[in-house]
Amino acid sequence: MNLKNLTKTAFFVVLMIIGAFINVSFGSPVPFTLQTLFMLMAGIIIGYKYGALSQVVYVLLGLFGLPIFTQGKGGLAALLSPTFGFLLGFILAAFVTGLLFKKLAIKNSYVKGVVSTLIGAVIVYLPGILYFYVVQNVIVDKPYSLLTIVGFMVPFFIPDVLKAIAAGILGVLIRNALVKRHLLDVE
Amino acid sequence: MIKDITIGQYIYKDSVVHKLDPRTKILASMFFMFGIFLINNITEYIFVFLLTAITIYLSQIPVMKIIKGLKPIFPLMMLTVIMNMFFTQGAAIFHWAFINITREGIYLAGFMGIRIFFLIIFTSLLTLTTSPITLTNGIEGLLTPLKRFKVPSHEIAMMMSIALRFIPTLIDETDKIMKAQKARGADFESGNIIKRTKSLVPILIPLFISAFTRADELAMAMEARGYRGDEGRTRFKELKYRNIDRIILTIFAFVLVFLIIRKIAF
Repeated sequence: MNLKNLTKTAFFVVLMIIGAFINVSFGSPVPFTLQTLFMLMAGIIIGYKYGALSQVVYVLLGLFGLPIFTQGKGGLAALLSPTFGFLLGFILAAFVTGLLFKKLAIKNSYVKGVVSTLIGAVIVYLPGILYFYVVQNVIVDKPYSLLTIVGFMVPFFIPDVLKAIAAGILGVLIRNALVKRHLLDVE
Repeated sequence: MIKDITIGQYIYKDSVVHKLDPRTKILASMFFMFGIFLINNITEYIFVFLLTAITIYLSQIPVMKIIKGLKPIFPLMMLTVIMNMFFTQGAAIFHWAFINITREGIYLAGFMGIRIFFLIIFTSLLTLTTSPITLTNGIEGLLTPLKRFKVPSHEIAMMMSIALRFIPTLIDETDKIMKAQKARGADFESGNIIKRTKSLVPILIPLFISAFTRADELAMAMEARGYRGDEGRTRFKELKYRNIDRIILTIFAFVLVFLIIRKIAF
């Protein structure tokens, strides 16, 4: 691993931790933090491999004590929370978003960014729903069907789509700004 | 608003628990976490209580500190208890309109509440008694066997240490940038979602540029000091399992295996 990529991945994690505390929802009841926004931008800005790695580091830091998960949760106990699957989804989604952004044959980079982040935002739900199901049925012994679980998540769909669009555009903007200043190597 | 993040609840004490190998503490916490969901009667809960109480006593961590740590989790705990109380089928003992409280519901709610309570107290002891750097060393040690599957364990631990070190620095930086842009008349606090997203651009771009410039400088500084990754690296402080670590791990593993076998067999 290139040392510059290592430090950049680490700094991306720091930005994401800070982002989780910048609340831009101002007044609306659903908290709108930059956490998911940064997660979706990871693949676009530092590439699929390091993007996914940054999410691994983020989740590990949360598991081992930093209060960085939503509502200031953190610690090993988060492993048994039914929503932990979404954090695993972060890793997968950052990877997929980055890979799509690299491989998709779309001319306009903003469109390409938004398409990648939209697909990434959907991908987060796969491990999220599966984990929820497993925790509810195996560990907590309170069985819910997969359909009920999907039902819980419906209210989050529209904000997530908006976030994905914002992340796609912002991600490409930031990436271009960094490339212009030679702070990012593009293959 | 960002200043509220407190990093690391580590409290330094010269105790037996502090001196354990971090790998022992991580593994023991994990065994405890899975074990607590497999126990099912009062005697075993008393045993868990004693284990937790003795560990807290040995760690010399003030009990108030631990209770304070429970505060953010409290709403979640109450929610679990209430959900279990109201939505469990069984013999009703209280009935009003659509609310149904059952005997089974109360049992389940009580057990779930106690489980989550002990789970959080015991796992929080891990971070209270282990400094962040020791903890990352421990994680690196535990991930090392995964190197065979190309998991970059050393790099992950290094990134964790770098991230921990630079959180305060970048918080200050973010604060400065936000204030600077506000002074220039930037408005982050009104407008619809599109306007708000747009208002993020003058914060995020300087923030990323400053962070990535620092990252480049750090990489150069590390290279200049001869950092070449894991290969051939020696350590000033090496992790070492002592006898007490072996004993604790054996006991925890033994109990967990017993509980799993019991769950499957009966």
